[in-house]
Amino acid sequence: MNMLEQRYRAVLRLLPRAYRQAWEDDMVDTFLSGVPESDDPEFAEIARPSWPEIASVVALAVRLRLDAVRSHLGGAGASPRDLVWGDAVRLIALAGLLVHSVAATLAVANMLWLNGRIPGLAPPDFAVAFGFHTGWRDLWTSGFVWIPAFVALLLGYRRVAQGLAVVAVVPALLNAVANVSALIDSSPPVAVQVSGLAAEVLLNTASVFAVLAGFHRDAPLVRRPAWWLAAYAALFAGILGVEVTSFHGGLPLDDSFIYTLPFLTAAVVCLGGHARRSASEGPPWALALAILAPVMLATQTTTVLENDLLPLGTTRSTLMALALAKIVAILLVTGPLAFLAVRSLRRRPPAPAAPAVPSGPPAAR
Amino acid sequence: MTEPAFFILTALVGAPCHGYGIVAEVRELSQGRVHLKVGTLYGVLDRLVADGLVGLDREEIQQGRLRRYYRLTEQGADALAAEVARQTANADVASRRLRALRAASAGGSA
Repeated sequence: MNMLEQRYRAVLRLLPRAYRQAWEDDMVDTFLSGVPESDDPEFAEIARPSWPEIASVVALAVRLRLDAVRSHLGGAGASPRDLVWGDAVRLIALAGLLVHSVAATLAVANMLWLNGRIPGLAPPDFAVAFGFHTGWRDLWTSGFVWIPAFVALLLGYRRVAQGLAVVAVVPALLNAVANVSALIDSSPPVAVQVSGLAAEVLLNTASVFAVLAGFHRDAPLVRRPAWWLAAYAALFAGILGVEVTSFHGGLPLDDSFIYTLPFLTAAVVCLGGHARRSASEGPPWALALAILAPVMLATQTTTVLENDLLPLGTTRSTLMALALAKIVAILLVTGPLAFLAVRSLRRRPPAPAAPAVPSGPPAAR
Repeated sequence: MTEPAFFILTALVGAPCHGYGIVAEVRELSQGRVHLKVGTLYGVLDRLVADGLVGLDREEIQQGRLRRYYRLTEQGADALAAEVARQTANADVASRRLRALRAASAGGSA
């Protein structure tokens, strides 16, 4: 084995072991056949696989490993246990895109209101006084791309939805990077900044990873898309109602309620539904909510730390009491959700011993 | 069907071929436009084998290395024929439209 072959085999180590066992020797032969000078020992001593050849192996390795993950999320030949995991990840994707879309719709509606572009609804006095004007840049940072991503997913345009979700997460991650740079100045305590950064990254990337991993080519279409659209309308109306009530002297609100309120509502509905139905129903929801619980806790913990910076007063006390109450509520529902999820997974057979990567060609006849 | 898969199946029509033979054949068939890298070739080949469109013909030892020859299966020939019919229909539609456009342009400018 000459040095060039050794170097190429080193690159092939990026591939999963099972795949290498099936294909490596043939790949090596194909590669070396394409390099006529490889028989020259002097050439082989210094030659290396070209970057495009290495890139093609890297791309193959990424695809195979993604396929392996997807095969455990309800892909072809998945076990009953894997089907639950797949359904749960798709629910996380849908729920994440739903809440992000509602938040983006509210941000866009707020922008239109400040600009006096909502017929029959006058802009607030301060917006008129300061001549508020918002443009495309503000629209981009509002995260409006989540809305077409959510709609595309409901309509079954899987690839479009995945592309849009990746685009949608960009402004949020840029914002997170800006927060990292603010860490250097460190006007708020570092703990608040770090917690906020972690919550922001978790909230935004969890749904994107779930969309990419869960909606593979073997994944079923979204069940009951009309139901999800109704949930979008209901959530938008509900949050708008709560915000308007708060604006007119109701309970003060923190930023995280837009995530934690739907989470707690879904958890209560899931647990309530489980109490009425047989134990075998609803495990994907329980699993999805149990996975999301740490994300909700991170978000709510950030809120508590931020509230702690507010000047002492009634508003601070109310916000702090509400934030702590939500943390307790999240912890209270997480235990039963996790118990339900684990129990239902244990009752289902685990993944079969099917290979996660393509086997080699069958023997010649 | 992707373009690399289409050319790989076409390269195997008529005679079994080994990995590098497929790469060279695809380059020739596409008039140098499609140059398959090894990772790309096997990324497509493994799926074609898994779907039953390509099968193993034989294995040989060449210069101490394993060399596999692949052949087109009946299922693969059917899939390729269906793809050819689809592409031909698409090309016909486009050609008719272009001919009509050129005829209209020639008539307008006359």
